[in-house]
Amino acid sequence: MKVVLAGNPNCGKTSLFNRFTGMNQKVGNYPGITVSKREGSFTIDGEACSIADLPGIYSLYAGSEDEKIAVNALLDLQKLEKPPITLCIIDIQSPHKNLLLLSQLIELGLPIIGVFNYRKKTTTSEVNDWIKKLEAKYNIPFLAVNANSGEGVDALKEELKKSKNQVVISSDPNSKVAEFAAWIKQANDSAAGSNILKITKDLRARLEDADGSFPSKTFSTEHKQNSTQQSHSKTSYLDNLLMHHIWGYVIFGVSLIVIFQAVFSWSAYPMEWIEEGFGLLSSLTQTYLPANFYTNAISDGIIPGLAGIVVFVPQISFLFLFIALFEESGYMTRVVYLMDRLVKPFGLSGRSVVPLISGYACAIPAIMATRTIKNPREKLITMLVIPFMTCSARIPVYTTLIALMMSSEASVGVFNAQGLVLFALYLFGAFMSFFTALIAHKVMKRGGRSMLIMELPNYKMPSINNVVLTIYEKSKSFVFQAGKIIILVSLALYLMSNIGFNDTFEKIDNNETEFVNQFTPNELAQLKLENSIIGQLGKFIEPAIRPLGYDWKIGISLITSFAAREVFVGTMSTIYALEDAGDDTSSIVQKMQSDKNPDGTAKYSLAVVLSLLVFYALAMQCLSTIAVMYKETGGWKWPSIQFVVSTGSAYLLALLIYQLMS
Amino acid sequence: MKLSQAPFNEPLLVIQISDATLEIKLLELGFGFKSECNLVRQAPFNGPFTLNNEKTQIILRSEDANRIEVSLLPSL
Repeated sequence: MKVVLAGNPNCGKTSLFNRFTGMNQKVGNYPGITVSKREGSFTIDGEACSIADLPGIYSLYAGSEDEKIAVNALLDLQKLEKPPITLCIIDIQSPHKNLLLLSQLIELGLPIIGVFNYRKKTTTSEVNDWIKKLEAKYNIPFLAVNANSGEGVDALKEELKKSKNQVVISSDPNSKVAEFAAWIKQANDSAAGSNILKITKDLRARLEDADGSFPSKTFSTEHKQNSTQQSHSKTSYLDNLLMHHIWGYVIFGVSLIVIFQAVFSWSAYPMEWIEEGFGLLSSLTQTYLPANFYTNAISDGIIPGLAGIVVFVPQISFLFLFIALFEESGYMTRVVYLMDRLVKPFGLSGRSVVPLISGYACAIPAIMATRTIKNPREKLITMLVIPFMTCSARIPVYTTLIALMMSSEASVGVFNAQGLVLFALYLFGAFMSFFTALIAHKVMKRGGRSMLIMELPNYKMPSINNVVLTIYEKSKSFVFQAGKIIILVSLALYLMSNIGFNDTFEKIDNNETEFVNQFTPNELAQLKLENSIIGQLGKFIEPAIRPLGYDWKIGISLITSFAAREVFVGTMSTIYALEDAGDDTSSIVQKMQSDKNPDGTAKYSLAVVLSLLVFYALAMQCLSTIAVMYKETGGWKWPSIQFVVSTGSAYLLALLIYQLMS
Repeated sequence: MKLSQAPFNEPLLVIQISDATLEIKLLELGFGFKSECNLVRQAPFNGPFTLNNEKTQIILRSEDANRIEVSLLPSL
């Protein structure tokens, strides 16, 4: 059995989807485009069912790209001989708007179950009154569920079982259903303006009809007013504070600082456990597996490389925790309200703020999120500047580099000093985003009028279920996406580090006495690495990166991290684990700190570290982002411009910083 | 008067929307022609307005508020 979820934004669709699927869900893309597609599975009495969650829409007249996806998906269902059952979710807090879509879906002739999503404070009699009235009016089944608590979900499954053989309205091309589907298609395909009068007429008629659908006037008005007043008063009280012209910004700023401190401090303990766990795994591999090339490849190549990624899961989880809380609670839309006027001079809209903030987590979903921006120019500028926002993949690089500069115990007042440097880097990323946006805004041709109309949802307690699933899904995709690259890169690195084609490499590899007696084991390891394929490759690019203060080892990491930034730490871990010839179990930071130049000075001086930080803050080092940009802009023009501008400015600024400071 | 010039927290009636695309979006959100609403607040520096009726609260930019004509309803 197949089920599709449709409904208004913020009506509880995704909560119900999570309730049905639990962990059995995947978030992919619709073919050829980048609007996220949530699909999952569940069972009813042992029968497997698949379920898809469509982007939220208010009506079948699509404005933005993601609305078009939902409308086209529904129009495609209508053509099927046996379409899936569509659950039309209606938020009991605002049924009026939801009935508009419901009436259109019914007219499309799809098999529909109307599902009222209610919250704790809604009375059963209020819901029942709605159900009685609408069942009589539309002749389709209606049920009530509490998507957050799961109440009513079993009854809904029973109804799905009963409805699976529901007969669909005739697909006769002359039928009213086909006529309506053809009209919707025409209204969405035609040039803006040509059908507007007919669309507004249709919407007005449906709204008037929805008004007439309200249950018995005295009853509903009383309950409606009670529930509206309750939610409005709570929302108004919070809005007075969170949307205040001073306190609103202060609270938003403080919440950002809290997020960064949490990402740094709270995650320190689990990170330590993960590091120790991988260290132990590496030792156990060496102890219990036969001593040969493959064991070394696993313990010194793959395990340190993977550890370099998994160790950052706690930080990424905390970041997604806060983003999920902002979105779930309804606060994110208040941020749009506060920020719209401030970002408008940069060619951005308030809608750009959510993708930009999401860019703090990962540029890929953030670029996907720009689909909700209707103005193409604002959308393009937002996409171009998102990669400057400090994504979670930079956290491993930043934390490693910051730890090279200062101790984890250093503090400024009550704040952890490392946390403050990280905060400054986040500010730098945001500054570069806006600076680039301003330049793009001045340079690019003006497009059509931009519009910002958004519903402000009532505040609600975030659902723990939804928040946990968001964190799980995002962390999983980060580890798996990055993990695949890391395993390949780690293995390739290990192989390239253990193969060399010059005499020195072969002599060291054959333990020739000439070398064994002349050098210490650590010096021998370094010499071997220098003469391996990877060492030669790093040395090949050294002339280009030397003016930035980087040596061939950093060069290797720069090459590998063009696939993904976080590979920098994995590569460094692999290089330094290889270099120290085995017994030294000190962390990557300690190993890098103790690395010296031939003149005895520290290799990772302040100038080098700052230059690296700036390089990683700006350079376009993420193949997936380039791929998403290509898909989203439909060509190589904008990803190429983005790559050249980002990486070029990264090189020049890093060069400037090193030359000024050294 | 234009919505952007209307007083805050007074009952208003939408009497004209001079942009059809804007009207579609407003209709979808329950703020069409002849609907009653309240202007609640405005973000600093001529930022977006928040507008509500008994069911929904929305935000819209001041230039869009300029395209909506409203009249004051007598207070209850």
